[in-house]
Amino acid sequence: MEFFEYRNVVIEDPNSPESEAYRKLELNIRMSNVDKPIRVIQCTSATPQDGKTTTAINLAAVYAEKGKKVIIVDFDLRRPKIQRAFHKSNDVGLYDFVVDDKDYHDLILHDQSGIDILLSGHRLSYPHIVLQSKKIQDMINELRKEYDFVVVDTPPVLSVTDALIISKIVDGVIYVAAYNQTKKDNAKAGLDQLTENGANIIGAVLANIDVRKSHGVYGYYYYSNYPSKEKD
Amino acid sequence: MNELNQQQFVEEEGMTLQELFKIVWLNRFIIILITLWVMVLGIVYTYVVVTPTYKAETSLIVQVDFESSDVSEQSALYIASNLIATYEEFVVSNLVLNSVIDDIDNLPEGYTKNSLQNSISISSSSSTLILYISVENESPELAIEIANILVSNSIDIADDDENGYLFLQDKLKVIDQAEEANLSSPNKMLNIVISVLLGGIIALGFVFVKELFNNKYQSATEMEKHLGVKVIAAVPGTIKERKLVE
Repeated sequence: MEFFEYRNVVIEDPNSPESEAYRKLELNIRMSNVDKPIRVIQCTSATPQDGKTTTAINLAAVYAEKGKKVIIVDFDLRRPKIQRAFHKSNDVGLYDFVVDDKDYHDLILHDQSGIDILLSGHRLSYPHIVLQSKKIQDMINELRKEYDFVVVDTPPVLSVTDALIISKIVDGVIYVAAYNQTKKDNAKAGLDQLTENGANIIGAVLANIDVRKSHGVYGYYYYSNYPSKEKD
Repeated sequence: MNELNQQQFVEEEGMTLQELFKIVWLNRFIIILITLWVMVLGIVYTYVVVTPTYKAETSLIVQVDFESSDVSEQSALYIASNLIATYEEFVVSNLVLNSVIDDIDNLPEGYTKNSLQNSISISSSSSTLILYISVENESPELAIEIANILVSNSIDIADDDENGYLFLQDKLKVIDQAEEANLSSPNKMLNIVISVLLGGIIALGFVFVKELFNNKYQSATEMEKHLGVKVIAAVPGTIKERKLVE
């Protein structure tokens, strides 16, 4: 089976245009609702491999970089990937919390990047039922109190209902599509499902843009190339 | 956010032509490839598929004898110029064509009156009394033979007292016999030029149709328009750079 290594460019290459794009994402999330800050953020997309997980880990890294307390929760219980992104083993996680009733605080991994991670753990049999449970909702509410930001990674919208269920318990949803890969109809259908479910769509992210080919992103690329933009 | 929006709207304006060139530029290899393919097809067609045809040309003059008759020179000129159109029809009449087919023995099989008619072209200019008759054939010798027999037969038939074509009688005279036949088709250079142009058009059409039916997002603006949601980040290639492990 093929596995991709997820790059956390914000950590690995902080001055890259990619990192700047994620910083801009963070800024735009912050600006989208000034009065009621969005703190529990779900990353999802219509189809697999659109860049959800990459967006989630990089966004979390931007928060960590800013000195915020951030946790990333892997709610993709069917095909968990966060452990690969952070090079952890998926031994403990939500499974232990749900099935063995362990305290989730003990299950949280502390990455050296400053990001806390709650993995999925062993495979759960009925993810959609688990995700709807009050236990999960309560956990999210607790995390909201304990952390500045909670970034949630979920399965694709069109594959399973999980993403729709989670969209109800988060503050906002970032909808990811991949450049020259995600089909427009799929992206639209997925977004429609989310909005019909009452999800708060913060905005969309177009990932993996081939800058040489894409029309209309030169601006971003050019600006994000300024090397002197130091973060506080 | 406002800054982002403004930036996008500015980019949206006047993008069409730029986008068009961009599409052409990005697909230049496909365009060149298709053009070359069509050109090769054109060359193969020109040099291999098409049977070359040759053209033999004769000319004759329509004139009215004003010396032996009582018409004036002016009237003779007038009558002759009016007869040109008549002769043009006369030379391709069944009577003449059949006589040509009867007179030539070595016509290829399946050569009919129709094919003969199609191979004849007549041209004249309004200010002269001269007619040019050209005949095309796959064999240069046959083209010459047909052209000469066509003209001489038509004159013979017109001049024949028994036929009584009074208007054309004794009014036709050959100027040049067909002596050589030149290659008339295919026009190799023209064919190649046409195939290059055609290839270019097909390639451009293909590329534009491909872009038209592209159902994937090519830009943040496009995504924004389609989804009706603000695109809050456009991330340059990150996923692509993921290394394949295990």
